[in-house]
Amino acid sequence: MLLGGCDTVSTDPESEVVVEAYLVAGEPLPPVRLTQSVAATERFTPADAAVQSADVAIQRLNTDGSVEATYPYEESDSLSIYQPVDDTPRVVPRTRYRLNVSTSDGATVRAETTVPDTITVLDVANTDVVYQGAEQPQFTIRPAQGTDRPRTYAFAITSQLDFETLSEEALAAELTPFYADAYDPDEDNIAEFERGASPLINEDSFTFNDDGTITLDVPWIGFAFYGANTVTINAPDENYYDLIRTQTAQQGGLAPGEIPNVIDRVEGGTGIFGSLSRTGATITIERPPGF
Amino acid sequence: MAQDTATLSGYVRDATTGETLLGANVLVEEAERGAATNNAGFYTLSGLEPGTYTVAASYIGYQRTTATVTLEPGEDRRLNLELPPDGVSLGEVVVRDDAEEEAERDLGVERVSTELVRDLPAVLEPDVFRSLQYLPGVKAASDFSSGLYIRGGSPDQTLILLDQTTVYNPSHFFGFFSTFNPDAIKDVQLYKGAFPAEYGGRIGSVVDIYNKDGNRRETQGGLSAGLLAARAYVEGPINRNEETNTARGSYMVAARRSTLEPLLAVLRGANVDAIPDRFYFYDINAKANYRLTDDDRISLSVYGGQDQLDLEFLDDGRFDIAYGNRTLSANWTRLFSSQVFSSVTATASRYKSTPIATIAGTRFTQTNEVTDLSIKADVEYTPSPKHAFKAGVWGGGLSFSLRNTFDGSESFERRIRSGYASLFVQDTYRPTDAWRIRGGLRGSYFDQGNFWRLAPRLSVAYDLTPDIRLQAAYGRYYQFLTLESSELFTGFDSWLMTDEGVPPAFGDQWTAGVQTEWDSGWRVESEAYVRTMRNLFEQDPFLPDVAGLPYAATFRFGSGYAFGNEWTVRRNEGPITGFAAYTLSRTERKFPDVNVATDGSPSFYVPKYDRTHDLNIVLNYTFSDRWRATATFNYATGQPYTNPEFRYSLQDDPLQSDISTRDVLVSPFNADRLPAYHRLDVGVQRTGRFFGWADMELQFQLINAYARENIWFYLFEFEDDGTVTRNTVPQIPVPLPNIALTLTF
Repeated sequence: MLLGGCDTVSTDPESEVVVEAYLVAGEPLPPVRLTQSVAATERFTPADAAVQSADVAIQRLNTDGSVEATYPYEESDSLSIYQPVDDTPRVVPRTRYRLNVSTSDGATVRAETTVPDTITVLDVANTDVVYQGAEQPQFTIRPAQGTDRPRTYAFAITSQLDFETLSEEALAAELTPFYADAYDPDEDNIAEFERGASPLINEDSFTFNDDGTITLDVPWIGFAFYGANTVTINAPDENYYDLIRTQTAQQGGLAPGEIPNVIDRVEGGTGIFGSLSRTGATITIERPPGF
Repeated sequence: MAQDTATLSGYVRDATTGETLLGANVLVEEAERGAATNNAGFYTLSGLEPGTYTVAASYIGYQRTTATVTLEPGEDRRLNLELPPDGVSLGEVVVRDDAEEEAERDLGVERVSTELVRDLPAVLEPDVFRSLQYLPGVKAASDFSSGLYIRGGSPDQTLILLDQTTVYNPSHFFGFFSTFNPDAIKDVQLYKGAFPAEYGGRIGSVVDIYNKDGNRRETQGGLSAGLLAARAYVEGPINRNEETNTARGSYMVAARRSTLEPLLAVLRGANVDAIPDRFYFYDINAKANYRLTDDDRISLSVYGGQDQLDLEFLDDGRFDIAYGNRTLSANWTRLFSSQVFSSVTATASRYKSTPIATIAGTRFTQTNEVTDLSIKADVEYTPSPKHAFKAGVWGGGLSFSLRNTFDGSESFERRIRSGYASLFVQDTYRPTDAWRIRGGLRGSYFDQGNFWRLAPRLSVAYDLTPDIRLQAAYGRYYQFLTLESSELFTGFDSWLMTDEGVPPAFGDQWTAGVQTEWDSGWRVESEAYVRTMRNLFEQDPFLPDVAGLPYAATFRFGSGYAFGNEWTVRRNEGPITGFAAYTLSRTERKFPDVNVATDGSPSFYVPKYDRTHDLNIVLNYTFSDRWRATATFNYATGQPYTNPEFRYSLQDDPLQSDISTRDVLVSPFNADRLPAYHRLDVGVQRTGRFFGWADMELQFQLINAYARENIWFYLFEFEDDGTVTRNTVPQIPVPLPNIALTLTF
């Protein structure tokens, strides 16, 4: 009696088609992965969850929303992955793209993304540095233009060690101290440390220069391995930004036990049809004396 | 004729210590007129016909005291009353008249004695807020949290006052305990809702705490040692007259400090992981008061508390976390006449937290500081038996700063200074003996954002019979501050305030209730409430970084409501005392990006602290003068939680390593419930003499006596083989003993 009448809505989720594609400014059209979400109690593998025999295409749109070009996709040998029939077109920055998917059971999935402007690296300082030394790797960039929200970046740092041939022990010997302590050979696959990424960081966290460029210090926490590392600066679009920030919140952003759903911006399905621009350089990290 | 009537006024005190008793009841028996003492322990009864009266004073935990007075026409009689504590006559059933219990019978008002705080079984350390959590309508987030979730409101919706000074982070041990040392506290009053116009600034409830003034008869001290902390206090008279055994003033100093260092040292010596280098808290309360003249009293009260945690983790990881509160209040009360009581208080409060994390040479810092300086003045005027006016002004300045740095660079910085002011007027009107109507209006101004708000308050009480009282109340409430807090760890707590684009939160509260008094000290109460919460503002938890954002863009705005019904059965007299309280309630909230409907709009959801059913039983049994036993039992509907229904993994994320995935859960938000919560705590106390030189109280308590494995929350982890495992994070899972020794000399 007392508890009736409230307008609580709890949307019951259903299994959906999951799309996954990341357009990178200036790079070839990416593969599109199609899977089906599974019950949380079930095991998920891309092969088992693959959506097969779907019609997939990406369209490049004009500013007025009309279609300028359509790029059909075809199913590849890898289950769940669709590749562009023509892999020569490059993703154009500051351009809107649309993904259309029709599955064999009649479901249609649609999503759109606007590719961020390119980032231009003007200078890279301290490309060969001692770990946690006085000099920190530093990029000076001309930022991407044309987003409604403050420009946001994420560093991705990929070790250039040869993970194919080096033994796990040899790789572990190259870990920086924090990661070396976090790494448990019995629990962890060291390849998980090959690439790490920073949280999303607004450009106001960095130093603005008078000429409109930005100087970014690469935080030491990003370097898991000594040696050569590829540092990329990534600028995500709205879709990718929303996915990252809300998926991060699933891991503890609210009260313990409360798990919000991600913002996916996919009609008729879920997942990510996002884009980014990126640039980078190689940074070599040397061991400090005594390590 | 008014000039022919007499007025009776005075202070009501503890007969052994001289402490004023707040909310004590005074009854002129023949006239059937009653009044309650105010927050200074002062009462006024005007409009009494000349004659001889028996004046009775009563207060829970004290023996009833009577005095006979003869009042002449126009006389203004000062009659101070002193009540002996109950200790020497336990078990005596005191018959009290309804009019005596005026203050205890207001809707939604609960008063907790410090004796109850000390007696209740407590995890490691007696705690004021954990004692409040037993009351109907008050819920705890978990066994590990002292935060108060009152009638569907979050902890920041409760105004915490210590000697009239706002306390911004009332917690120790990162939320495990409240900051209030039971040795230092005289009075704890909780307004659960629909509170009167004299309070404002929060949309939920008020906890009004007063420190002890100090013993005015003799110097007294105490030592207490428990498993977590040691406490000490001393109190005594100032300028005491030996012949009359009266003093012009008194003082009290109480200190408490955690005593975990030896245990931490042993654990570190045994190479146990994640043992802090430093982990302690302390707090100090001090108060002094002095009677300048018969009509003028001053007091000075200070509080300081600090928590510190230094923890190294892994190699090259470190947390240095410090936070604490400081408060100061200086009060002057003056009696302009027996009918006009005034109080002026200057307050200062500061909260500062400075968590620092250093991970792999990358430093993250956050500094939050709130400083609140204010002055308030209240006046109470009782011109006739039908009217009691109260009015007050409160003005001050609030400064707030939040500064974040990342890797040596400032990533967010905000400093706001705001003046604020409020004014209230209130009249308690008694047209007949059966009716009491209290109307009030509170106006508030907040300089930052230029917000003016008016908040009406109204309550009506009607005595249907001498034993049955019906009450209803309404109030509008505004809140200019919000707290960013974590249930897991309050060391990062940050207060934020309104500004341009961030208007104050507000809400309406309606309550209605009935109270019945039965024979032999039984009381049954039922109270229903409905409240709205609108324009709730809090920092957007989905923002990965707030650097460069306009202040208003860092917030999300939502709404909520709560309603419920509370039933309480109490017995305050006899060898078995205590209460049973049951609450049926519901609270819901709505914020963007949470529980999104198919059309993309947010829908209401039940927050984690919603409990449909909540039953608390608190029993005290006095075996003899030396032995007492206490038991508490709580049963509550399981907390809402999000049970994932679907999942998928993104395989090709360019920010992840080639073998890592970005795993996503798809779930109806907070649509499931944990198993029901229940817990029994028991304790026994023995009092006596300690080798002839001090009074002793030895307590032994057992928390979670039957080892109920209550669940705090589930943690869902993605495994490498593509499955998801559900890990259970328990609340206190085993019987937890506690022993404490208190010496009083």
